[in-house]
Amino acid sequence: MKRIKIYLTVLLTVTLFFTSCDKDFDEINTSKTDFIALDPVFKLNKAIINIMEMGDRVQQLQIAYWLTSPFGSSLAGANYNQYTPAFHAFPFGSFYQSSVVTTVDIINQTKEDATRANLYQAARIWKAYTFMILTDTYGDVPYTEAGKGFTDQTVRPVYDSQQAIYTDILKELDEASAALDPAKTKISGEILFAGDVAKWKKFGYSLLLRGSNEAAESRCCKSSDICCQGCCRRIDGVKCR
Amino acid sequence: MRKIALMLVFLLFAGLQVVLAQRTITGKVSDNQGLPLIGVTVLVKGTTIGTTTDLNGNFSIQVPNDQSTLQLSYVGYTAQDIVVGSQATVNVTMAESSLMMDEVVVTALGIKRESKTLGYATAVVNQIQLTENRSSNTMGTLQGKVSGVNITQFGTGPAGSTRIRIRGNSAFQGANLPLLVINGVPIDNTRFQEGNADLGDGLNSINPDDVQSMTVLKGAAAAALYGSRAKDGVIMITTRTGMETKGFGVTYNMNYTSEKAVDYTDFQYEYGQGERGIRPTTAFPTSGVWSFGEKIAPGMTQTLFNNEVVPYEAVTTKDRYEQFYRTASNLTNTISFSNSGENGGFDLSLANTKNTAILKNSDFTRKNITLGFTQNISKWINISGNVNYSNEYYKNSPFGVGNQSAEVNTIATMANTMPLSLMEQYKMDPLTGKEIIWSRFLPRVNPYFMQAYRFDNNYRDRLLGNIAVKVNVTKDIYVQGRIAQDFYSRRHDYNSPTGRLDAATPPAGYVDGQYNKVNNTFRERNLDFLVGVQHTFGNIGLNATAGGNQMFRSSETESQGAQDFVQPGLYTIMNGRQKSASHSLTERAVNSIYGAAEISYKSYLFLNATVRNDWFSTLAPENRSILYPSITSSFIFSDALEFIPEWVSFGKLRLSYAEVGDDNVSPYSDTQFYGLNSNLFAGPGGSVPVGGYVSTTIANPSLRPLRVGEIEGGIDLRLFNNKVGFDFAYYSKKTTDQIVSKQVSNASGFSTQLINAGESLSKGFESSIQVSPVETKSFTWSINANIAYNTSEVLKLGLTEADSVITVNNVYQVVGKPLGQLRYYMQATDASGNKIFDANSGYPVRSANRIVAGRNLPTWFGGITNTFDVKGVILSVLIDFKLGDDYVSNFGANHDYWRHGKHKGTLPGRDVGYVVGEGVNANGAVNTRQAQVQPFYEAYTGNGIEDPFIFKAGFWKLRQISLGYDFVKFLPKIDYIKGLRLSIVSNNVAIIKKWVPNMDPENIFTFDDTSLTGNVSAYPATRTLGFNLNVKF
Repeated sequence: MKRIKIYLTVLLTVTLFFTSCDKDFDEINTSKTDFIALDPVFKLNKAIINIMEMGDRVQQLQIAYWLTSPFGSSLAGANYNQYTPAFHAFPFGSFYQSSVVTTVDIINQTKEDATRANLYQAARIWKAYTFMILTDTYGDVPYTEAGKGFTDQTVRPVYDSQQAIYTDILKELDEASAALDPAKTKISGEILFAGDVAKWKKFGYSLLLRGSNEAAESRCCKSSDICCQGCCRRIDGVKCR
Repeated sequence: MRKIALMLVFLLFAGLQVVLAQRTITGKVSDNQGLPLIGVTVLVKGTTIGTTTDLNGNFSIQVPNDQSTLQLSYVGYTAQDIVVGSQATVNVTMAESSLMMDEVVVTALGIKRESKTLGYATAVVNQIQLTENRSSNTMGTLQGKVSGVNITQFGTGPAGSTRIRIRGNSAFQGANLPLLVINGVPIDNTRFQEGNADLGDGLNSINPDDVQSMTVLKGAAAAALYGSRAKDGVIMITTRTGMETKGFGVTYNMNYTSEKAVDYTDFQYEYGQGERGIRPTTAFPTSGVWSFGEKIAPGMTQTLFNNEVVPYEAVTTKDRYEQFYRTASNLTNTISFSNSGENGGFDLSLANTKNTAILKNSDFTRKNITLGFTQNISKWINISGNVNYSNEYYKNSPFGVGNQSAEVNTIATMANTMPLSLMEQYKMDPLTGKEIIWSRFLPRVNPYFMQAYRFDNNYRDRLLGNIAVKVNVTKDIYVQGRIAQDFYSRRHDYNSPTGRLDAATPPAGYVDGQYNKVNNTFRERNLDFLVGVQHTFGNIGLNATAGGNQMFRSSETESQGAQDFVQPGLYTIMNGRQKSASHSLTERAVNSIYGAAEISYKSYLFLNATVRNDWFSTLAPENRSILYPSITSSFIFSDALEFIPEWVSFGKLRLSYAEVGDDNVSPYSDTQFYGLNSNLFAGPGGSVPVGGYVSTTIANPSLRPLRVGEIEGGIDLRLFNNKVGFDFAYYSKKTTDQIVSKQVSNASGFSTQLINAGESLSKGFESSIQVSPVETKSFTWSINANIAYNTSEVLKLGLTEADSVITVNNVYQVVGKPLGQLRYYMQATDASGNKIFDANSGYPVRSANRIVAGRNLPTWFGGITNTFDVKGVILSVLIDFKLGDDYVSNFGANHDYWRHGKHKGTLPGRDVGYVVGEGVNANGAVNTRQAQVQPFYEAYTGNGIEDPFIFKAGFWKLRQISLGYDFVKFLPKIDYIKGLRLSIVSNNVAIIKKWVPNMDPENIFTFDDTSLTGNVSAYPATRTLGFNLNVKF
């Protein structure tokens, strides 16, 4: 009888020990080394660097390197191979994951923050610029739902027509450039123009000019085939309608 | 009167007899080494009087008369009947049962069970199988020996990893690795691969000589009590505690093997160095790695990179191996001291292992201290524990297996007329500190340059152990508490030497080169308790266990890197220009409670049910808990059914169903983190920080645990007085709710998303047979064969039917197809299967889409061991096989051999100077276009047309031969030497059949199941020859 009592006591202790079966789990499952917030200007720098550094410039350099140097990659080095699918797919594969998702995130984060108003506008301009390259390269691409994989759990964003994209890009560039206010806070820590709002404004309007020209060409494509031949001088992206 | 007198006498005696019957018999039961046997059942035959022995093996029982017979039975020992007679004390020695059916198996949580009661398949590996003929990795030794266990020892060096799979893959992603348990406690088997080197896995810490026995639990039913991490089976290793031998004992074991590179290449040596049919006649460009030159004829010369003119003659791979590699050696010395007495024992073992690699500057050393003990501190309390300390140092683990700048790769791909001695002499230009250009293709680094200037140091200190306290509350009830920990600390540093020709030019003032440093600390702590109850009610026996476990695991990694240095040759972080640092700490916990109950009827029918509930810290609170059951049954029909003929010595049917849950995600998969680049980025306004999302996988805060459901049935037969043994198990295992990293549109800003969606089925059988065709006093021949078959099918991949294919690393998972589909671009074909060649160039045309090229998991594998015992001389020969999988023999093997013109497949056309591909043009006309030779062959490697490189990965191998003898009887009468066994062993003796040319089909190094392709190791396969000496004092 005494032993049974001991046994019961042990069992009870052990049961109590395990009563809260997920005690401290919230704390354990919280990372102690990773962070969940970041100043939006650091993110903007990422978006800028990735487009500038990993974008077309590198692509052109790589192709030049391949064509001229016998010491290229293991697949192509002087082997007279021209098969380069990775590079054709490059902007689509990279720009969304670097610039688009980041600018979407910055815009969400700073939309309501009056103290970061200039940064917000700069992000809109950079996003528009990114999409200008994307749609110029591929034509119709996901635009309105793009870059929202985490925020909205949208994993299959719809494709928007190039025309709709351009219309919105131009609107964005127009609005953002106009809203940039050199009198307000500088975008300090920004990499492209060292936060100089006036330069961003100039950049925004330059893009607006470029975009308007492109859009004009696109519109011309719709009117006649002959014109289209002339217009569609860029690589296979711009659709002739 | 006489009658009355007789009656009186009779009554008197009868009365006396009744008095005598009341007497108590006491006794002690021990094993053949004199150690007490605890819990032996002692029954008076034909009655219900019974008892069991106590902790000291003593019992006392009342017997009715002198004619009474005591029946003694104990798991794992031969039952005995003893006639009491007139004696008052009965001391019994019970012999261990040699019959397989009475085998005691260590099952989940270290609970010992009689193998006949088990309703699922297990495999037991004995110590000789483990230690006598070993490879450098503990598990590698068991290739082909354990039924249903698929083991691949990587060809990556003296401490390379092993891949172990039991019953196929249960999940699309992750390693599908069995749980490794040492002395009842799970240990970490993480494989490290940093800086392009295989640094080995967790098994590297274990000295095979310390292993007493190993049990493999194959199915979910067997492993159910181990829970989530055991969904792919469990490998349970028990190390010694000193109770194996009586009294004080010393055992010394020495194992020495030498290892040599085996040349499996079959290259062309007709055409030498050069390109487009021309041999080099000027120093630059000298082709170096291309063998598309001229036909080799006596008297011809070539000009090398250093302007030296040498004869144009071929050097065989065998010669190169001889020159570049050495004969490696593996030496392990183990000495162990053990003592055991009435109240317990201990075993202390000290071991030193030194394995050198065939690569001249690479070796692995390990020192082990292992202590095991068990002690009864009172009649009711037992304390036992194990501690294993290992100190491991892996120096210069072979670099870049499968990497084009690997020295091992260059040795094989280098042009066939390049003299190796010059390469050694001209490895570095002393003026520039750079490698001398020897090849037009710079990434192929001079192997001697790498060997001289590259370094890689990997240290690990590991301490794993457990302490358990067991209290026998009553004869039938025990309570056990245990604490266990696996802890290690790793330091790894490695460089990419300054002066490599393929390095990017650094800014002025710096030299190129890289240096990396990784520190890693791992800790897994397990706290558990167990309560066991056993009792017999007439014909029905009950055995119940309940327990709980708290697991906590943390892994912390700090790494630093530096690129470009101020002072050449000084590999430190602070000497670097571009520095990087990272720090990660991951923690996870699993809490569990579980219970098991076994009911037996007349010791021929056994039912066992378990239930376990796990809580995973990695999942959201509402999904943390998962409950899963198992039920198994075992029916010994040879005992139960009377009509079973005599020649069926033993027959058992098994049937079971089990479920296991698992959280196969890494901690923090529910959160999207940001990261900041290590270095500031220079801009017009100064350097600025750069950061953003770290991962391209969308975090999912609502993941659920996956669930494995497995049904298993089997039969175990022993015939003709155990001369023939047969075991068969069929299983079907379905995994649902798998956590899949599903591909998503890049336009979402991510590339994958974690979702619960996958469903797959893995089924097959394992069977083994043991036959002894000849059994005489002086000669025994026994055959032990095992074969396993596994097939699988992907049932569901996503949330909708449209999700029918995903890629996981390099393989495709396709609904309706077996797991691990390989899809590659192949040569395009027309409707009737003719190969298409380009009409203008004559080169092969690549298919528009990837084409199914096979699957990466074997369907059949097994082994056959023949053992011959001639008067104590034991010869054992193991042949094993693996069939049904495919792979691409890619970089580091046939792809590179082809590309560089060493593959015999690139010979056709060289004599005439053109190739006409056999096939058609795109328009359907027969191809007649004469293509240039070298570009024609390079069109395959350059465009990724994989036809020439896809092979069946299967093989038949003569894996092991060993010849052993115990010499003790030849020694002069020295009492203290109890055994002296010497064995001569050889491993990886020969390949009987293979399909892939130029390499050992097993020369791969992929730990998980999804990136097999392309991961072919150029490190040559080795053959070992050596001996094992075991001395017992």
